[in-house]
Amino acid sequence: MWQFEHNAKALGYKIIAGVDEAGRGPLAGPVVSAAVILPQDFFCEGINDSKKLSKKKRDALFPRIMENALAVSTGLASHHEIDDINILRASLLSMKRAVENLSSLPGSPVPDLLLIDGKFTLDMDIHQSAIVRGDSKSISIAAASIIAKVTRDTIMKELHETYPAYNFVRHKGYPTKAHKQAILKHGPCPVHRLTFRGVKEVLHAR
Amino acid sequence: MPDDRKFLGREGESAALEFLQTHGFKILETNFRTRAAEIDMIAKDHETLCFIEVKTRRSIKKGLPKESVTPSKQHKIILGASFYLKKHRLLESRIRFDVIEVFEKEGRFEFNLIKNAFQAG
Repeated sequence: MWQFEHNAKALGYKIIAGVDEAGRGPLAGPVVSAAVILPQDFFCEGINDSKKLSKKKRDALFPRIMENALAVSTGLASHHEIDDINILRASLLSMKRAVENLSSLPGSPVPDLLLIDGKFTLDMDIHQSAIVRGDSKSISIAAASIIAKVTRDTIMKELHETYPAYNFVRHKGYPTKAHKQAILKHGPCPVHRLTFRGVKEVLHAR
Repeated sequence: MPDDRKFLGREGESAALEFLQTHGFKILETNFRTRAAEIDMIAKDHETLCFIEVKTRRSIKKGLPKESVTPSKQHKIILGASFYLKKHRLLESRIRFDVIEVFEKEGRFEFNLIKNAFQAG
């Protein structure tokens, strides 16, 4: 899990940030990204692909990252932005915002290399490396993946309070059977992604 | 931050704390922070867990206090909320993000509690 980080250090990079997003698939809510800079001695038992991690393990790792990371930040792109520029570009935008938000932390180190999950790099003037399935290959990306996921869960929990009819707290906006049925029954709410299949047909039918 | 402003901030926070208590909030934490996250107050309003940002001002010339909850500040609050929820295993709690505006005028405080001050999504 440290291979990419070690190689980068050997090339002379000093501050390496992992970047990942959560929430490309859901029919509602924002896409959320996180950037994390870990100390070299971060102990990583159990950290791996956060999607494969059990919820229990992820919950246990989240505080450890928050307490031990040199810097943690998040960024999001709203359901409006997702509809306007498409989900791929919105997810890259949220990643860029997460990296920009790193520098809003007082005394936070400035990364000289980004390790980014996926196929794409960001429109930023920092050296970057895109790693497909990076959250199972780089510890920094895995940590960012956990922060993004847990942060998004909190946001959906809060949106549930405003739009309880859809039960966002249960499925986080993902297209479960219950969620699709709720959209059919109540129509889309103000945080649904209107360009997504499962939402737009309902919108047009009403 | 100049000392005078720091002092005003602290005064505002303790005044806000009292105000919230007299309005039935149960204060759980003040100044909950890590390197990346910060929340002024965490309190329970009936069954809802509230993450509260305190904004103290002498005048509204610089804009209303709630307007200074910038997106990057919102992120810090959401991160802090996530941390708190995980730390205390409060996975089933209802949550809300509030702002309390505190206006100081000639040694007296006025309050404006904004429930659901910003929506995270």
